[in-house]
Amino acid sequence: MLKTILAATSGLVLAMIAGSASAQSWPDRQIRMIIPFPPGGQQEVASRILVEKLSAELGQPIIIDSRPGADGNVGTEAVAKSAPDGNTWLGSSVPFTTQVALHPKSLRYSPTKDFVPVATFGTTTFMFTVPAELPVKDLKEFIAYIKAQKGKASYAGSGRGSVVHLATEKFKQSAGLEMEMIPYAGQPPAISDLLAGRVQFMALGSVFAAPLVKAGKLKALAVMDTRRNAELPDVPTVVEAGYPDLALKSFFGIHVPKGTPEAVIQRINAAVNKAIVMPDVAERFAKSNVDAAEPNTPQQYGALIEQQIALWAGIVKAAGIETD
Amino acid sequence: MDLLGHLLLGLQVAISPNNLLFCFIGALLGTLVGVLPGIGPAATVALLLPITFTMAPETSLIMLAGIYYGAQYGGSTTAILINLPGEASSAVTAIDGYQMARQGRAGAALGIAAIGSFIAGSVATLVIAWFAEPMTTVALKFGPAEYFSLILLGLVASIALAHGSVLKALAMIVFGMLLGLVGTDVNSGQLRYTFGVGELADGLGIVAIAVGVFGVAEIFRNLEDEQEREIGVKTVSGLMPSAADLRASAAPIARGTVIGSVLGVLPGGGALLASFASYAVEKKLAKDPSRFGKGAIEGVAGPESANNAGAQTSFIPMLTLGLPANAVMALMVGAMTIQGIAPGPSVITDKPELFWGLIVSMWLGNLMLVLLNLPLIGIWVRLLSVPYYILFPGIIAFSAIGVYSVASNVFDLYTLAAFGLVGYLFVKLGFELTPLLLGFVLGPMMETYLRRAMVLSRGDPAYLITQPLSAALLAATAGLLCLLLLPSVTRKRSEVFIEED
Repeated sequence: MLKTILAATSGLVLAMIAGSASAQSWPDRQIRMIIPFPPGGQQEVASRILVEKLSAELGQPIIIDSRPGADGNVGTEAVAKSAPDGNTWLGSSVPFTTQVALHPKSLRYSPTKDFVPVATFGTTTFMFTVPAELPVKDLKEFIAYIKAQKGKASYAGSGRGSVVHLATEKFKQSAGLEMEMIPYAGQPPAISDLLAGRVQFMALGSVFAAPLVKAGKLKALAVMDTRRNAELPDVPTVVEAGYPDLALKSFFGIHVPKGTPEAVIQRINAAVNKAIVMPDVAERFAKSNVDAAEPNTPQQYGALIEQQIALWAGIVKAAGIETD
Repeated sequence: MDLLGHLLLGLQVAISPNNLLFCFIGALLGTLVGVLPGIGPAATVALLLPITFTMAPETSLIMLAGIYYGAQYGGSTTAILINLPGEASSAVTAIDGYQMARQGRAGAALGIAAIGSFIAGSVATLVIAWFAEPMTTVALKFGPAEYFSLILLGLVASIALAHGSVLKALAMIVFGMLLGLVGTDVNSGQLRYTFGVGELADGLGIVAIAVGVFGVAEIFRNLEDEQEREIGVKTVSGLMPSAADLRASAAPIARGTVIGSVLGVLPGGGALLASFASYAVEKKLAKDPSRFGKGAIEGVAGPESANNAGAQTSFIPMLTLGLPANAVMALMVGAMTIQGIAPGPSVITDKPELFWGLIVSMWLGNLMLVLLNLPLIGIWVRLLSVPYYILFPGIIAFSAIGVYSVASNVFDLYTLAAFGLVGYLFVKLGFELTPLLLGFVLGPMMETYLRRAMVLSRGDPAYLITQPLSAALLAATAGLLCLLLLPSVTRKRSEVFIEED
């Protein structure tokens, strides 16, 4: 009797010392991966494909919880506040690295101090697209065309501070262009004005761009990647077009709250690396225009995050679009 | 053109036992979530998204579409029975539908809603089959200037929704628009009227407000006097619309179908305007407009048909251009991408079995819904005789669950409670709540389009009238405004509005 009480007490004390998670028994219950954006997006689609494999590997169900709001900050904050026991993950992507620069004062979490990276599992690209009837054949002609418009041209952005907005600002800085940003709530609502030619340009996600380009409704001038897109192999890369610094690939990964046991992080990382080399994962990713990432360590993903934070900070500063 | 061949192909796909089953499951689920206040189709579709992984693409879309239009059907049930619209579009149904229920004519209201929806859904299905491609070009003709003018027209027309004082209706529209301003400014990213409350960064929740000002406020109103309690109307005369009801509804259903089919094609909010527009038209055309707001069956038949037709034709921009009209459709686009099908112009040619299968299944689904809903009317109406001490807590609980499920946000529950009180106060003071909801929904949309148009034109207001379509819509608005103001000038305003005060 005394033994049991002692064991129970010491167990309790140990548990308190070690935090709420014990790395040996993890995972002992359902895992939740919070994606801080509205459901149905590319990140969610890819994450669902991934967690199906992770769930089989880790032996616990993993649910995807879509928590949109405030450009991803609502869901991200929720993860930052949750217990670092390995049972709550954040689906991290580019906006996770842009918010510090956009809201230096009001942001209530730090992507580097409140979170630890686990792994990145996929990337996707954006394409420079223009309406089908715009009289340009390639990026060079487009730049000349916009310059001749003398500030009359507009481009579509999927909300202020979005990747689409920031990437186009970077393009404007690199090519010395003048174009006004028209904000839309996400990419799909912008497509209609792009198709109709009311805006002259959009850095559009490949998943949306490919079918419209194939149908001749849009023209793709370049893909923002170092490699050509498998679906539209005729479209040159930005590197080929002479703008290597615009190869701004978008990535999807997993972060956990700071304080999550190292052993847990390593187990998730190993499971991710195992899943992303599976041929059926790559095949299903490809259907929604996501490329599986190369196997990577938490440190490598962390380095990518640091590099992205610096990159976007530079773009935000140069464009003067900080909102605090 | 081989429309018949296409429809036959679609029929083959749609009546395969598997697809028929999932069409039924979708329609049934949709009806259920539509009936439960707040638990919207978006939450349901989001939950079911992973299941569609394993299905054939057409099967998954058939089911998701079933949930979508099933919910449109179901949403009007609670609006009629307990004045609890699950979404903005069924708020219009509540105006006359709930009054009919109070008069013991809930069965007739529910019946005409089901019949009208079925007819509208069937016609809209044919419209999609025939006109999908040409109508795609119409959708693209609408830019920010056109949408702004269209919504302005809708707002002016909606003053006709009020059955009391015009001034009070206007005040409510403006108050609703002000509430809609709360949140993040789209152009600058700055927060507006959030008073440091982080949860307000994305604005107030539409479901929380709608359920609060209609449902919760109605319960407050019923609680104040034990003797005059109204929820739980005991006298129910007839479960089906009478022959006279059907005759009175035929033309409104036809007009509602046309209005809904046309507006539904505009992905930037057309389907939402459909029920409001239809109500305004019916009131305008009625021989005795004073019956509206007091249980006029035309006020249920028209908007319900328009709503359902709009819900169907909003599939045109989604399937042909990948332009979703609302959150549910955005999820369906997601479901298509999971299956490796990019919604776009090539869907019709590359995946004819999917496109036509879906279209035929929509018609079958509508048929199932009417067969499902007509027998249910008896049950729904009997639900009203549940004692209030069970019914009220039940409604409050379901409302709270529904509102919370929209974004898993506790703050929405505070909004729900606060707007329950606000709604109660407004009802007591003789203000109507439908214009408030309308202002809340349309105000921010109008602002977005106006500001987008202004950025596009670099601040030139003339842009709104140099675009021909926009100019025409503005002219119509001006004409309507004159029509509205004229009777009040000649002291014959009661022909348009009932003098209450």
